[in-house]
Formats: sequence, C-alpha cells, structure tokens
Amino acid sequence: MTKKIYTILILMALIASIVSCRKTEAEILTPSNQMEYRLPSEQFLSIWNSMNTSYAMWDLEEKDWTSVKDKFLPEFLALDDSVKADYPITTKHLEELYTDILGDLTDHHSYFSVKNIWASDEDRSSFSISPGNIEIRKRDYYHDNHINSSYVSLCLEYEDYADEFNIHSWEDLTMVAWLKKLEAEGRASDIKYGSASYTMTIVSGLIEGNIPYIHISDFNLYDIMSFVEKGYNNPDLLVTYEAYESFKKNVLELEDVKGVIIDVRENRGGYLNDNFYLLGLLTDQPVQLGWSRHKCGLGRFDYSPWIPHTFSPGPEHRAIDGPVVIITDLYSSSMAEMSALIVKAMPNGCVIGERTFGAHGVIAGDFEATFSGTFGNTNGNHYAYLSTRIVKDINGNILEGIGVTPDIEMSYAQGTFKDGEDSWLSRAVDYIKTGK
Amino acid sequence: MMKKFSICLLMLSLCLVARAQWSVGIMAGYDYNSYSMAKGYAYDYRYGGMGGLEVTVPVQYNFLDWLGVRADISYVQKGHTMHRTGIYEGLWTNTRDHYLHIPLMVSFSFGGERVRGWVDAGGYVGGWLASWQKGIDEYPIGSEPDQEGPFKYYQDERGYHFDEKVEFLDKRDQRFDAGLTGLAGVGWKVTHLLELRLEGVCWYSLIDTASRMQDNVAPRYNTTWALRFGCAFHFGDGK
Repeated sequence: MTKKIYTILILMALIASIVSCRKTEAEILTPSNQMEYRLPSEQFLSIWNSMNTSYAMWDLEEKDWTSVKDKFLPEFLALDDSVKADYPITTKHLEELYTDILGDLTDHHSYFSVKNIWASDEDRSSFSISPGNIEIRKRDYYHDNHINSSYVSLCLEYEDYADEFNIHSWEDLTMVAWLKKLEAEGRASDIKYGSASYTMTIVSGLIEGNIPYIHISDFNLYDIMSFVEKGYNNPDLLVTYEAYESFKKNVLELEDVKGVIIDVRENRGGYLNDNFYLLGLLTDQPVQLGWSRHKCGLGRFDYSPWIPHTFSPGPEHRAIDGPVVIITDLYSSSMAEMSALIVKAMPNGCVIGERTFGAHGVIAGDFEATFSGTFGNTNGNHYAYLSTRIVKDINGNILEGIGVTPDIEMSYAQGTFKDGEDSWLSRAVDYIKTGK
Repeated sequence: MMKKFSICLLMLSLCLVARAQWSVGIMAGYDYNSYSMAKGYAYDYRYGGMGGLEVTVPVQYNFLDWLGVRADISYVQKGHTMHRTGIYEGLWTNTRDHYLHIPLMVSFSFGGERVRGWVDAGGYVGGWLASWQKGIDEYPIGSEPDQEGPFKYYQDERGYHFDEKVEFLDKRDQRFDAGLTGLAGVGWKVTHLLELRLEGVCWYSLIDTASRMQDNVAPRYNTTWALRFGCAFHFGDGK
C-alpha cells in the first residue's frame, strides 16, 4: 500500500514537472512605455521590441528580426561600456548601426528619427533614416526632384527657396508652362493654379476643349474643402480651391469628355478620403484596387484576412467613357500610388510615367486601431513612422517597396521639359486621342 | 545467473501474453478548447475558448487484467474566439483548428466483469491539419465617402464578413503538437465482444502554437476537454 502511495506521489510530481514545461509569459510593453533609457543597449532593445510588435510587414522581410537582436545587441552592450566610462558616442557610429538595422526595411512609408543622448556637445544630437529614400537611390532611373510644385508658394515668397528650387514664377512649373504654351496655340483654356498653406499646389486646365487636366502636389483636398466650407477666406486657399473646382466643373458639366489627365508627379500622398473628390468624380461604380490587411495581435506575423480594398464613387460623379490617365514618377508615393492602383483597376485607366516610390501601405492615425504602426515621439528619444496595412493590387501582387509600374513608361532623361514642352503630358494627350 | 534471469523473463512474458487481450473501438463526442494567451497591451482584445467535435479510434492491449497500454488516433477540433471591446466592439474572429493526435497511454482498469472503470495517462504527439477563420473586420479607411469613423462599419453590420481557410505560415504557425493526456472512463459489456464506453479526456498541450520564429511574443497554449461516447470490440476475454 505504501509503495502504491509512493508511486502515485512520484507520478504526480512527474506530471507537475512536465506541466510546468509551458513557457512563461513574455514581457510585452507598449512602445510608449519604452521611451526612456540610460544606455545604448536599452535604446536598441526599446526600438527592437517596439518594432517586433508594431511593424506591420514582417512577413515581407527577408531579414530575421531575432537574428538582428542576436547580432547587434553585443555591439550596443559594448557602447554601454563606453557610456559607463564617460566616453561620448559619435552620432555617425550610432547612425551606421541603426541604418544597418532599419535601413533596408520594405515599408517605404517608414521613417525613423533617433536621438543620440550620449553625443558630445560638438556632435549632432540626432539622425533620421528613411528606408524608402535609401532604396530608390539604387534604382537605375533614380533622379532628383524635377517638379517641386509643393514648394511653389515658398519659392514665390522667399528668394532662397526660389534659387534652391529654381522656381521664380508660376511659369517655372513645367505643367503651367506647358498649359500656357498650349493656350497660346489655342489648344488650352481654363488655366487655374494656386498653392495653399505651403503644402498643396493645384494646377488645372482644359486641353483642346474636352480633356480636363489637373496636377495635384499633395492629397489635402479634404482639408481645403473643409476650410472653404467653414468660410475661411484666405486668398491662397480660395485660388487653390478654385483650381480644383474648375477641374471638377469641366469633368461633370462638359458635354463631351474625351479623356481626363491626373498628374501626380512628385505627389507624396495624403488623405485617402481625397479619392472621393478626384478619382471619385470619374466613375459611377465602385473600383476595387486590391486587398489590404493589418496586424491583428501582438505576434510578429499575426494578420487579419485580406480585406477587399474598394473605393466608391464620390458624392458627385460621372462615368467617364474615355481614357483616365494618371501620370506618375519616382516620387509619386502613398495616396498618389493608391490612385495609380485605382486607375490600373479601371477598365479605361492608363498609367503613364515612371515606376512609383513603393509606399502603398495604409496609415491609420489611431495606434490602438490595430496596436501597430507609428510609435514613439517626434520630440522624444526615438520616433518611428510606420504603415498599419499592407496592400496588394488587384492581381494579388504586393508592390510595397517596388512601386506601380506604368503602362507606358517615360523617363526624365529622355523627356523634354524646356520652352514650355512637357513630353510626358503630351504623351498623355496622344494616348487619349489615339488610344495607344 | 544470466541464464536464470533470461528464463524468468521469458516465462513472465509468456504469462503476460497468455493474459493479453486486444480491443479496438470508435468513439465521438463534444470537446471544449481552452485557449491560453496573454493579450499584452492589446487591452481590448478578448480571447475565449471554443467547443468542437472529437472522434477517436482507441486501440488497447492489456497485459494484465488491470494493466494495459493504449494508443489512439484522434481527430480533435480546437479553436478560440477573439472579440474586441470599447470603440472597436463588433470586430471578432472565431478560429477553428483541426488537429490529429496520437496518444500513448498506460491504462489502469478496475471493477467487475460487466462494468469496469479505467484511468489512463500518458502523452501524445500530433499535428495541426488545418484552420478556418470566420468573423467581421474593418474595411480600410477611404472606402466610402460618408464614412465618419472607423466604428460606423461594424455597428451597422457593414463590416467585412469573412469565412475562409487560414493558410499555414511557417513563420507564424506551429504544425507540431505534443503534450500530456489523461482520461477516465467507464464501460458496460453488452456482450462478450462488445462494450459501450463513456470517457472524459483532457489534452494538455505543451507546444506553443506560435512558431519559434516569432521571438518575444505571448505564448499560446491549448487545453482541450472532451466527453465522448462509443464502443469497443474485444478480442479475447475483454477488459
């Protein structure tokens, strides 16, 4: 009997020890609780942990994030020794380490700002890393900005900017010069342009009486419309709004619209809702550009299902039968690229220009919506600006970090942009007139 | 000495074989999976268990009247629910997991000829076969012009309803499963050959369902309780 009791006790102890083989809970802090640290290794682990749970694109990355910690933590621990010995850390060294860690991420929206709180007084105290900007420099068609329309109001107000961007008058913008040239030839009318709040420039016109054209430097239409509705009467705001209204009126009211040109060269994106007031004008049917998904849990690869990403017609719209052409370039990013994806998904759409930047991820303003995306503080010790959704196009291709490839490729190297010529815009007009 | 020991061992074996009996059965029943996962700072996520079906084919070999060894092939439905609270209430996902288990247990039985009870304990190995997800999620912003906030969609049932297979992702998912299992049962011999059985079983997984390729994530474990009913056919004297 005693033997049996011993046997049962031994068995129970054995079972208890096996049951305790389950892993203990991981300590997962919210990124906002990891903003303060004393040592470089603590800064590294804070950023590493925050990225581990908040970054939405781990499944697109070739790099193994766990190996990153294994590889770099010893280097940061070595820096700890320097700090403890009262030696400063050079910002260049810290920047090189973080560029190795973060500089090749696929999320082309991502942007990191890191403070070196151990820098000497003579050294710079912070640095930033933009993986997208690093990647595009490796493309064989890489070039500097050519249009700079976002800066036109700054240039017209401050000479330093005018010299830097070579914009001394509105006619120095390639599309304005082109429209004016066509106007002189009797081929363009209704030319309007304006730049509001230094952030958004709109140029519009009507080509050959039946092709509405608009260039939009950023997607802040929703803001501008809201301000006008609220009765703001800033002249710059009103003239910018008028340029948009003129385009809208031509699209909705012209008897015969041969085609439409939307020019998003160097457009860095903005509000997704702007779609309803631009491409949403041109269709009476919802357009599915593809699918998107978001993080759904704190695991590195916890994702929601792929959810159809569909854009509905705007509150005012008209079905355009003719071609809808969007003009993109290397710097067309985010909402500008989403617009290109929508146009690609339209039966009458055509993308002309260069392969775009490759920042298709959607950014939600609310961290708690998916407990992922942007973390940190722009004034704090580190800050990371990140996408919250991955997008794939209507054919199932994830184009993050790659960009939208145009149907008709153009290049700045081969294009003509002098004396009122803009060969990209001329190519768009040719396409609308000939269908090829 | 060695020769004597070998003879004794052989005689003991013959004795065991002489008393040995086989039984094979089929059982099915309801199970409930309890899902253990810390939600971390995703404070409005609520995880819960899920009921399912279990089917098992037990095969037992009795050395002695009261001692045997048992191996089953079991199909076990596991799963868990997740829903959100607060302003994101209305978003939910139910995940149904399908597993195959192969337990190996020592079986201790007791009782009379006609009615017997037993307690089995051991371990199991198994594998994740497939998963299915069903739920409501949020459409991306910018999908409708009159959207005023992210919650409008699922409050009025206009969220994205999904019901789809979950593709295995080796970076995220763990196919292998193993753990402890224990059960208690009672049987009634209807005939010399046929026995009706009722069993309560627990599967206690020791394998984190998240892949090891995910570092520093909350571990996720399944514990599944089942009540099943069925029959067994005996070859020999029966259990």
